[in-house]
Amino acid sequence: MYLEKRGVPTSTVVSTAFRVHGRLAAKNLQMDNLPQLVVPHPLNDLTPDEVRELARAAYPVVIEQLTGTNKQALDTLVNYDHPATRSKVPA
Amino acid sequence: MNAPLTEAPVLDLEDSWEAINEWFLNNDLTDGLPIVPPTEARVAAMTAYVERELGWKAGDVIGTLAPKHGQAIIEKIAANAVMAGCKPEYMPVIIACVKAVADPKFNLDAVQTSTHNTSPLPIVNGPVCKAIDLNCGYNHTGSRWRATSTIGRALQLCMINIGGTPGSINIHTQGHIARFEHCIAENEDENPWQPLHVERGYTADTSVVTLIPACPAAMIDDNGGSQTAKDLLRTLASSIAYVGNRNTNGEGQPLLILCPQHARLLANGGYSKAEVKRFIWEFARIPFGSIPRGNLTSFSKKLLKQYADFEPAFGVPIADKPDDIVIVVMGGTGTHSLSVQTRLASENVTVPILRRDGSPWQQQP
Repeated sequence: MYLEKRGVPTSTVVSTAFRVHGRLAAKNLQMDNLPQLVVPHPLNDLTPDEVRELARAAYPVVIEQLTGTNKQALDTLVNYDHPATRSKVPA
Repeated sequence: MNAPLTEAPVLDLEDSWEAINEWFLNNDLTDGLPIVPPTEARVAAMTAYVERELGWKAGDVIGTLAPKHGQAIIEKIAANAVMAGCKPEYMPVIIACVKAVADPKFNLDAVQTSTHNTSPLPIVNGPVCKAIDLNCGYNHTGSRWRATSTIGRALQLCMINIGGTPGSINIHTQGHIARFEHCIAENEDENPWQPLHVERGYTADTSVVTLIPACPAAMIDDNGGSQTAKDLLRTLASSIAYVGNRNTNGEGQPLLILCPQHARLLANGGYSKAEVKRFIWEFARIPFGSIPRGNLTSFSKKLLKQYADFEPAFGVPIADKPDDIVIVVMGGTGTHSLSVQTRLASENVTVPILRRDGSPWQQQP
């Protein structure tokens, strides 16, 4: 956020648990409209392969945010289901 | 930067206790319990006391509180103190508490926004404790003691209403019951050693507040079993360290709250407070080889590097050095002490109660 404030293009990534905190931090820096890329919480239980999967899903939004072409909502939820929420048992 | 807000906003609400409480609840300005409505007259009584006793004016800024970086001016602190049910005489302690949590070393931003169950714990020392009847004996962390309960609550309300909007600070995994009213005073009369503030370089007649980034306390229930200092030290040491105690992960400052009877047994056995700290540091350890590999990823990089080639039998301590352990004496009769693990990357902060001109404050009788 500080880099963005200094004019360096950035993509702000937060997990869902820290979404409100991220908005508050942006507001403190008077960047109320700073877009956030929101990924499912938690991150610390993802395997390296799942991290790569998440990164691939987030990639288009990161590019949009870096190039300023993201015209979506302030908070863009990345299209990625956290492994913990995927049903392991057939319904 | 926005200019600091030098006065608290004034609201015009229906003059009924129910309506005012409903409004504050609906606007996320409370801890969920009813408040004393902070009317202009009640807040003015607080700020007048502060100006008379300490010289601080209503618009003076004590610090900024994370994560919102709200300006903690005297008037806003006073409004939260009224809401908590405080008397004006409690304000000097509350102001020192706010100043301490605003210190960057305390890392309030992380305390308020991480998932760790942490709550700032003020430990009050010096003559102010008796002057305002802070509890240091039976049930010292518990309820039914106006100064203790409402000072702790006022600090929590300041953190909610000045420091950060609810929703951003509500993600402690389970939370901390003490978030309603965390505040204790040291039992100086029954402390066989120097009290905490004297140990930290203040005179005994200075009133001082020390803020601990405290996690929930674990009882060390010796239940009268230890008859010698060495027995008790070994009981304490083997009760403090365990794999899930974050203080084993690196540079923390764990807190040990000794009941007076335990402190007396140790002192009569010839141990100074520094020697107790050294014993705890040397013997409250877990064998390096018994720590599950995954848990090691929680250790600080500095420690991991240091422990990399150690023997499995090496004992991992709960602090970097003995003096990082904080020991205070508190409570009534009984043989139950408390071990409090603390947040890493947050340091405890000691703040004396000073007037605006920097001179120590003594309460007038």
